[in-house]
Amino acid sequence: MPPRRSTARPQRLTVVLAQWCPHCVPLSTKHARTLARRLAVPLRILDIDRAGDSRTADRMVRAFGDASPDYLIPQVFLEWSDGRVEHLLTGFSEQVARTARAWKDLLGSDWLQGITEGQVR
Amino acid sequence: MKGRGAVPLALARALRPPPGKCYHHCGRLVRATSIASPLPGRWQVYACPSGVVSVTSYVEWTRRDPSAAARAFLARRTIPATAVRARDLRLATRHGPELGRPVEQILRAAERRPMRVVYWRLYPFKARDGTERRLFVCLRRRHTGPVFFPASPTDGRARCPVCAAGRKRRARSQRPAA
Repeated sequence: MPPRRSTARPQRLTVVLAQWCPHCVPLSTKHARTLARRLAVPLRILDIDRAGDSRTADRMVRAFGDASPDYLIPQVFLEWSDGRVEHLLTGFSEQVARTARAWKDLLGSDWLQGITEGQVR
Repeated sequence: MKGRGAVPLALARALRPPPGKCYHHCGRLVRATSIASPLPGRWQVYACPSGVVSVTSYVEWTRRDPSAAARAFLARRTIPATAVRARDLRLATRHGPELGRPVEQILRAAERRPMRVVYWRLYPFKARDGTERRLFVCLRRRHTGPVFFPASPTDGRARCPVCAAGRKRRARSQRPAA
């Protein structure tokens, strides 16, 4: 059965990160920009070390992401027009190369292709 | 496989990282070793030939958070058990699209049940005497399982507390009775 079409649309891409994290900058900021462009949504960066951002970042991770006392970064979320927040990616705790591969796979995924074609995901 | 939560090999392979080095210690290649546990998922310990642990991971194919169960298992295998702290355990959910198309299709067919990974990474720390401590693992066969213990990076596996206790026991039993 082909996926049905949805009225909900992607609204915003959010990345929770830190400037000192090699999985985050520049790797994830670069790929997140590409993903946001493909989804035609604005990109929001939440820096866990910036006072204004950290509370929002913690709240997003606790509510929708991979929460731990000292949680992993980066964490990537897609907000939808119907209010849903979809957790997309958490950085790998191993090497930066593994997180890079995850970004590459995400950008080449059926999931992304389905969204850009307007199917429910 | 061990029932619900078990991770098929094809999925476990998708999570495998490329070969890495033992950073800030010996620079040699880190080897992945599987360890057995009563939990349904899969454990991997990434350690250098001297036994210095880079990271230990536990993956389960489940929607629930397996952190508490993973922590309890690690605490049973670590001396002292207090070295396993909640803040050193980090959770990651793997949904499929970030793992390549074959795995994405498997997870989608399984009602999008994700894999959840718990990483245990104990960063080097200073002991009370100011000397550096790192997490080691001893995987000798005489153990019923792995033994994790913090030690000085120059000590190596010789200081495994379980092996040391066994040596003392053997020495006592070989001593002639007075």
